[in-house]
Amino acid sequence: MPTFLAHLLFIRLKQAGRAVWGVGALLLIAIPLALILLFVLWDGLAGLKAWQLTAIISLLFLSLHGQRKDLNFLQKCGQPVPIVLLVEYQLALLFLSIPVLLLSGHWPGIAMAHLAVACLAFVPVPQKSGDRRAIRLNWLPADNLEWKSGVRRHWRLLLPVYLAGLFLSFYIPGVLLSVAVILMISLGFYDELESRTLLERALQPHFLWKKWSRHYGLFCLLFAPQIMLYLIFHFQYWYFLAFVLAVAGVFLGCAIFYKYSAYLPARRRANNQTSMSIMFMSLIVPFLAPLSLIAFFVLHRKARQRLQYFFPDA
Amino acid sequence: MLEIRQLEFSYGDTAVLQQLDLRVQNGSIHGILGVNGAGKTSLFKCLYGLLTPQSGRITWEEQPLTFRQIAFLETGNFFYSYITGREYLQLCASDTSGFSIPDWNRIFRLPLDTLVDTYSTGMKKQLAFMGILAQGRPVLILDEPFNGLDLESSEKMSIIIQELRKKGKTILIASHILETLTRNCDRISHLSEGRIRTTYEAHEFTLMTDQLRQQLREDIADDLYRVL
Repeated sequence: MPTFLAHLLFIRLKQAGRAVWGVGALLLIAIPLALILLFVLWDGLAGLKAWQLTAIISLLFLSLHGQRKDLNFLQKCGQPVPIVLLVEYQLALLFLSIPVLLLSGHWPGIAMAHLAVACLAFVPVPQKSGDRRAIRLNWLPADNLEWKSGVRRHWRLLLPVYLAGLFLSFYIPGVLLSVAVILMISLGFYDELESRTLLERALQPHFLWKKWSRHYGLFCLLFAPQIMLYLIFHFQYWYFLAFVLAVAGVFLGCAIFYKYSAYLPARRRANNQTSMSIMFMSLIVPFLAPLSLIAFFVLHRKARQRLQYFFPDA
Repeated sequence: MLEIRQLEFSYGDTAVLQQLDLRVQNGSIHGILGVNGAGKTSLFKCLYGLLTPQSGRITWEEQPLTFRQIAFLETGNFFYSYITGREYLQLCASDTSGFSIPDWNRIFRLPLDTLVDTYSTGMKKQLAFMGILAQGRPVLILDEPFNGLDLESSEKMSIIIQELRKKGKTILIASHILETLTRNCDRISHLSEGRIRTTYEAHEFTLMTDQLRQQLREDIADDLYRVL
């Protein structure tokens, strides 16, 4: 068991190393941004009461626990799965608990968090349901496979956020947060690459710009009710909404262009989460906001070059 | 006619295709036979433009071949997650192919309104095949089209391929299963070490089968007797 755990930990570290290395030159920006965010997070957690700290950390680990896809693999390795998870979670939690303990000096909260996370390792992960039927999304354009696929995958998360935005439109942040959260989720829709068969069918002159305008148009159309409610209730603060929608346009463009700039015929995923996360983080650090606007045009050029390489006669 | 002249392709220092020449008549089914790693899939990927050959020329009707003339059924099927079979076909179908999804699905009988992720291996293969039919291209490249199919689906696929030939489609099939090629093809080329060694006509298939089996027996005989 200890040897297996050591091997597993080593593999996890290698996976993490490859993921970080895969970011490339953007690491120069990503590392300082991540450190700033980590300090903000540690500081925030250090100021919480014991039960609040435990609840937040438990929720964080519960969401990770619910998404684990390697449990069958661990079972096949012949190891007691909850014990492996328990060790992994405890080690992962140390990255939060040690700095928080140093900042706050308040050990009961940390101990409670460790205990709660230990219990989570024994919570059964729900298996994927065998439902073969697809949610009908006839209202989405037939060629918009990203949104069809993404909405089917995440509708349980998207629907409550969307409805919350509608019902809380009386408050200024209601609509703005709803748009921002759904935007963040929808950027993940562009992580999967289509096969060459599907892509060559879709290619047409100015394909990238047309795709971006169609997808951004759809995004704005989906939020039309919320936009209208926001303008009715808070017309004097129209510029907040304009800013959020402009950011949505730039980020959707970046996600689309990143996808095609990473296109390879046999590749299934663009792995855009890291780049998109860095750009999102750049919005909250002063003077770095224009980074996403620069990325928008740089990625468009790279995507165009990549498509021209693989489809020279398109 | 589809014509390949002096095609060369290598991965780094490893030559995969070497001065390969091949001619495929219009409205015919041409089989490519070879052991695993002989270069069948690399040849097809060069034709389809997934790989760029170092030298050589590929022409269709004496003009350079473009990807819009080829439909390629790959060994591994690659769909988009969380989309239905019907949506996949709608995305594949060209406006001019005249492909009717309900008509074709009366033959394949796939549950088109369920998610492709839930399909079995054989169902995915059939959906991918419908996808390339929907493209309405004149040249079809089928890489191991019978892999993963049950007896009924395999027969169905065989009948459709024969009918497509009658409609004038030019079809290239690769397989390492000899019987699937001898049953369907007009000609079979034997690919070995990146070169076409021999091309057999239909009346030579029995001779070819005997020769290849005899060759294989001789190749492994000594080692086999030693280990058994």
